[in-house]
Amino acid sequence: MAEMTVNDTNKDLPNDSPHRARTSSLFGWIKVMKKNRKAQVGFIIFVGFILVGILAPVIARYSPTATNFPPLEPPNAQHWFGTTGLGQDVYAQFVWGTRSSLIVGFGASAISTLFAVVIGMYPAYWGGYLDRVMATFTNVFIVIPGLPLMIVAAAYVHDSSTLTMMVIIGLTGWAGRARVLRAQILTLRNREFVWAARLTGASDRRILVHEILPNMLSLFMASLMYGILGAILAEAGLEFLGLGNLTGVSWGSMLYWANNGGALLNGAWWWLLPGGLGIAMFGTSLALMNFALDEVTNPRLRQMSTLSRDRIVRAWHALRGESFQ
Amino acid sequence: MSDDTAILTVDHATVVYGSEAGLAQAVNDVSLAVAPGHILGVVGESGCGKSTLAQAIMRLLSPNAALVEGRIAVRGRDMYRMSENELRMFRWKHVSMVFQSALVTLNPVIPVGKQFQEIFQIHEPTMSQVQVRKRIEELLSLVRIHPQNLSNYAHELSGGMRQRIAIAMAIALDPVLVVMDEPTTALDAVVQREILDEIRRIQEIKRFAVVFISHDLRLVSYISTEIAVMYAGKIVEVGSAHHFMAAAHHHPYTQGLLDSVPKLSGEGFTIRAIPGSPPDLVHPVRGCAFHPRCSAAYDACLAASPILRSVGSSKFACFDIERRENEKAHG
Ligand SMILES: Nc1ncnc2c1ncn2[C@@H]1O[C@H](COP(=O)(O)OP(=O)(O)OP(=O)(O)O)[C@@H](O)[C@H]1O
Ligand SMILES: [Mg+2]
Repeated sequence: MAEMTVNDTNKDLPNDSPHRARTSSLFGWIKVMKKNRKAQVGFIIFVGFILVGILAPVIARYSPTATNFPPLEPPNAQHWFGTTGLGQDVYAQFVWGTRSSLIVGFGASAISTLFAVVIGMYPAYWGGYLDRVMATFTNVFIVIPGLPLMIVAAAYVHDSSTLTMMVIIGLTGWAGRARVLRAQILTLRNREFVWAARLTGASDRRILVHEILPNMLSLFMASLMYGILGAILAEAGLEFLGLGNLTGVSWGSMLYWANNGGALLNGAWWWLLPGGLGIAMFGTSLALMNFALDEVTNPRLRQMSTLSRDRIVRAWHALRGESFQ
Repeated sequence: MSDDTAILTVDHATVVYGSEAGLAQAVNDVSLAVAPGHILGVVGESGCGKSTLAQAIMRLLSPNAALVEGRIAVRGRDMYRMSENELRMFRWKHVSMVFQSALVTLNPVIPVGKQFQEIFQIHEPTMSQVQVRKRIEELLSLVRIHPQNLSNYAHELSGGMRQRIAIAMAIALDPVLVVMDEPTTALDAVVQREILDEIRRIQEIKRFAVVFISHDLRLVSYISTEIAVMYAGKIVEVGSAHHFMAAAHHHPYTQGLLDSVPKLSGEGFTIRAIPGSPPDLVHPVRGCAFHPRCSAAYDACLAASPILRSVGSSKFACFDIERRENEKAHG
């Protein structure tokens, strides 16, 4: 009699999860992402950092640059994250550092994304002379080592304002991303479904928007996420080398001062840790959201994570009303 | 239906896919036995579960599918009780497979000869280069491919040549069973026929058993010793190929398949299509899966699902055939 009741198993399967929504639009994705555990965790951490950055003036408790506290105090009730060798409050530095690191990260990645799209994606679809010029340009930029270029640029402009940092990092970080996006466009533009759309008379614009972009959205978002993370790492790197704005406070400058102030020699782990953890956790949140996005946009990955063989067997036996070990 | 002498025994196997819509029973309580040197043809329309059955036999089911009931054994060894390692060594040595398109099974960036060698490197590591080379050339001559083609890449060969090479690879280790999932579907009619003759000829030399899957009843009846007809994941008719085309009874679905083969009659071609639409495997109808499309259906067919019973020389899962047989027996 199994045949009659097969429908009942559906309650054991993720009936209302991913697959249902049409996932070609950003909006559809957001709906689907809400149900993904990895996305949830990643998003909560991400939003936590954003809130810390926005609310820095409210929640910092002390000025991050004030040096009027006892130096090298371990975490306590007054100084939640302890104090630095110069008598600054580490918690205040972390909170303000979050703010400036995120600003540089988002700003620089916006600049590099713009370049990656304009130089990598658009010419690739139309091909021809412009594409060849742009591809060559990109390739030249890729082989220039990024960090030395950034160091030279930062040392040359002699201006370590936040905006300058953004521009330097943005302008040196777009080439790899441009190449990835270009490669994806090149494989997509000759796929059968694109040819089929062309044969039915669809315009280039329509093909780009309706056929190609939906297939690229996940790669694009991944590129964006890694762009942000890369920019934050680049900023931390420059700061750590002493090439940033050392009077300002960021995760990188915290590491710089902790290193130069002998935090490890003094056993002041609380001074060294927050800057590094900030970078690592923010990176993790981006990576988690990115994995989730992969699952949501790739039906195969999605099925693997939601419909494991064990679940299928269990659902089947539940349907048959048998106890199953 | 377990038969001690059988090479392949499939015993009440049920395979379900977990999909977005729910559980799809792609193979539903299927039992089969293939004796040494026999060719079992499996025929049915697209989506009836033929490939799923082949994958289940090979233990190659996709990650969202599971063999939830039953047993599948090759040479008496349960495929699903082997460790990954045992399975790796067992497959291809004892049971191998030919896929629909050799273009997707041959690696596009490795010359075919190299892929051939890999089979021996994995399974017969003690063979010397020279022995391997000699063995490969023997195999190629069996499928009538010139050894010089070994240095070619897959895209440089014709579809027929590729499929011959795929067959040679499948029999490289002298397996007792070869599963062929629509091995000729991607080929034109003439080449199709050539490949079928090739399979039969080699099979007569090597005496391996074959599960031959196709949606084309003519191909299946041309090559097989037994024919199984599948509908909605179930075997609805199975019998010896010898009597098949001329048999007195057929399952109504099989009859539909036979009628949909073009026939040259007095007035020209007649083709009759099977009315209705393919079954929904997630929400199966109550009773016999075929009844919505069956002209012989009566109340019994709506109430329960028939199981395979012997009638004459074949087996059928059909209440109508049973009823007619009973009527005959009782006068
Ligand atoms: N990966 C999958 N996930 C979910 N359902 C699947 C999957 N693969 C196959 N199915 C379903 O299982 C059923 C049987 O598929 P199968 O590929 O075995 O059919 P088939 O008889 O080989 O058809 P064809 O002649 O077209 O090759 C189909 O209804 C199909 O929708
Ligand atoms: Mg198939």
